[in-house]
Amino acid sequence: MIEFLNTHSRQVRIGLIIAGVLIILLLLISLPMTLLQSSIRLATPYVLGSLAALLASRAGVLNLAIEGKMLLGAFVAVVTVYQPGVLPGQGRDPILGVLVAALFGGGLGLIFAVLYLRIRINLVILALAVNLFVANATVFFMRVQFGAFGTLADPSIRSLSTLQLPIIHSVPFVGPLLSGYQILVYLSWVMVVLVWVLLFRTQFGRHIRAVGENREAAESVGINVTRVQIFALTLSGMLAGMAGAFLSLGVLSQFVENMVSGRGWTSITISLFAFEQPVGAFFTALFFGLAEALSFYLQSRPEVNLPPDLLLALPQIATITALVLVALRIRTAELMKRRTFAQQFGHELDKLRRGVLAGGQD
Amino acid sequence: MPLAVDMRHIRKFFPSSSVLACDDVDFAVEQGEVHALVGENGAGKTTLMNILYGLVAPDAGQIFVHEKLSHIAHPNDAIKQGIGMVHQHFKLVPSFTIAQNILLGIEPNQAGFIDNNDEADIVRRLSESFGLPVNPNARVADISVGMQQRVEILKTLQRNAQILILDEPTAVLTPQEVRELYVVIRKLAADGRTVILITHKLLEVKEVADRVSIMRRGRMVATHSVADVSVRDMANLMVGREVILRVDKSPATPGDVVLKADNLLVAGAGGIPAVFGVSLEVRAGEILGIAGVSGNGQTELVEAITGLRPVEGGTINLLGQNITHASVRKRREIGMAHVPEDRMVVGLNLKTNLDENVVVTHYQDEPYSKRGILRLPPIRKLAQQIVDAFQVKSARVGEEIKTLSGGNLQKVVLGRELYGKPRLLVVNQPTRGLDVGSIEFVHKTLIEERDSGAAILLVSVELDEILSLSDRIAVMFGGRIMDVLDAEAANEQDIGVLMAGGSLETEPAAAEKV
Repeated sequence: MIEFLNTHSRQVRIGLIIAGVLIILLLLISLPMTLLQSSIRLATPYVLGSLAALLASRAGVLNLAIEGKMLLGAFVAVVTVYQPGVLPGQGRDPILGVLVAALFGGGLGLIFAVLYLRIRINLVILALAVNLFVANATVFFMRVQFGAFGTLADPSIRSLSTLQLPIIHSVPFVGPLLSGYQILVYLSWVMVVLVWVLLFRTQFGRHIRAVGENREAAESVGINVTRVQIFALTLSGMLAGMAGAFLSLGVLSQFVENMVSGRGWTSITISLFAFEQPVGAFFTALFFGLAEALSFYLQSRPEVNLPPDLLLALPQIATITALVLVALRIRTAELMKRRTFAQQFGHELDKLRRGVLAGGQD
Repeated sequence: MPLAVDMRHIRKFFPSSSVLACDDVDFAVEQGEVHALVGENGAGKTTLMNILYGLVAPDAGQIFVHEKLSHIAHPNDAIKQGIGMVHQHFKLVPSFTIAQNILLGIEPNQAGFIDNNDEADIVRRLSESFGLPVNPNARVADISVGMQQRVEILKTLQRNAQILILDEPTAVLTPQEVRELYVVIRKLAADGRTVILITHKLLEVKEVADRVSIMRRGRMVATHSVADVSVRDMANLMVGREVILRVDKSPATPGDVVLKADNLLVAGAGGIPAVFGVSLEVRAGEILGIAGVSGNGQTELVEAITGLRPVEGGTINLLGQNITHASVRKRREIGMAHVPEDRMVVGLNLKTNLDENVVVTHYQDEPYSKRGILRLPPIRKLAQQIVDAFQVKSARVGEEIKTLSGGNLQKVVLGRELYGKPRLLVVNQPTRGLDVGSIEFVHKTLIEERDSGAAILLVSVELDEILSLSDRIAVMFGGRIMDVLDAEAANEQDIGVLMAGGSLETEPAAAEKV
């Protein structure tokens, strides 16, 4: 098995891509349109969250605080838009909420980066602290500032408006599939492209990747590693903030205590699973969107006789499966490395010994 | 010739390990020469060069570059002064192409956007002008180690380096690649560039350098023109002569084979073989000493035998059982004991007390535990026995050991490892950093153990220790055993030549079987 993977790595990769395309086509044909639409919509926080995760890990920092940054984004987005007393639906523009969420997410990312890189607080402890702090601070402000318990909602809070794409929306099948989502959904797609361009077509992106892959190599040619990492973590925080804003303003138009509920962690899994590739993360995120949508969809179907708890756990099951696959991949890579070493040098050793026995020189 | 580099009265003390790495070192290199800087690992040569390259700040001293006083606080300062360094462990990004690595940090760009074709062109021109062909678009992860080194050299040349520091450049190369590198080095010097070669391979010095400076234990011992010194002289200057410790011992009476390693292949850092085809036998009642400059595969060999590092090829037999891939516990159950190189980190746990440190190899046996519960009274009794038998001063049962001296710590390790009469004792650098009294004690203990029938594999970089304790001596160089000598017949000079990678004329190519 390992030898096969070793000698056919290119074919294996192409095979995987073809299999992926086939699965996507099969899903597109077989699943109902409403399910596909809600998959794409629900994938948005995962798309943005996994971009946030991969940007940070490309710069060599495992961003374990994405959960907290998403929650902060969700909260400040609603607070920005919240205007009690105005007519229903006449509150501030939700786009403003998204921008403020991105700003706060970026700000928290910057603080996180400075605490970690300049003051050198342990990364894991810092991330746990940020996640716990945001979770409790949002509850605190909700009660003290708004007198709200559990949920912050108001008729003034509008959700993000939807956008019909010109021309595309009238094409059969493709139109309903791709058109009619909120603007942040499309923005997340644009972000996939932008992050890809940043990482693979700009000087700064090249420095991010160099820092993440071999920090000493970057240092030795005079790249300011700390600055690169601070910048990457700030960008990562902005993306996470936007992901949070979609949860509160794109799906529910209200803020609910701890509403991110693990999507930040799942985003890290997606980034790992997708080899930290933006496009790969996009498709992986779509799959997780499907898992979440499927969980809602099957619950609403009386003919499905599965226990509701199991259905609710679908996204989590998908996460665990992905993590197991990631671990297996790392293990296989290690085994393959050792196998190659033993083959290469074992062979050289044999040659050398034969030469010696035949009276030759080394 | 004007001086390219002139370092004066350099001093550097590392408080964390309390090592005086450079002790009032003077070092001068002429422009256009290939200057070798030799010394054993830990002699201070890499520290000295790291100071020149701005990676380490000296405590005292001055640096003149091209006869101007320079302040080099960061590698960027060094690069600006025209100094380039090729590190022993390459600093390359594996997923990047050759061109991307060479131009890292100085990418030609338009408003921050990069054009891959531009980069390939620049690198192609650079490689042609120096006659160092590379494929700019090949990924570094896919190219050979020799090619990676060429990329590192081109990296410094692209930054216009006039002074190149090469740290152990041949350590990772095949013989063919080494020859190519020599040609490159000579060519760079012929162009008027200055090359500083850090190495401990003396044949290499003879072959490629104009002058040589020798360091030993943080001090600059001598600087010579290479034509004026022999390999043997350099070896003597490098290793130095220590007070020879006398150890009383009777001739060995070797019994059956206890440990037998056959054609071992072990990986080192970076996917390079650290142990390459080593075969050896240790018999009951004898000490096999492994001599060699540190970093020639001894550590990896010991780790492979004791089960701390995977074996990629070959077999290890202990008392007739194949233990090539056995767990550490299995090896110990058969009768292996191990006194590791680093007693502070591997040998002992300094965060806990004496009791736990002595029982750690036997905690699962009765009477030390019953049904998974540790039983304190027998453990304490064992600790007290070891303290008494090995005269571990100021160690008390149940108390912490981190305040003990190095000698007393080593006695704790020895006491623990010798408890239960091991059939094979693997000992790595047993007296490093110990005072004379403790050294004597350790040596005496090892001889006693040998006389009572244990097989002992002794690895040490102290030649005197090897000479005075061993019954047979294997010399390791570059992951291979160069030769095996009978301790009676061996002398320091012969071993020095073998340690430097040479061979003894009288016994050509007899290096295969121990």
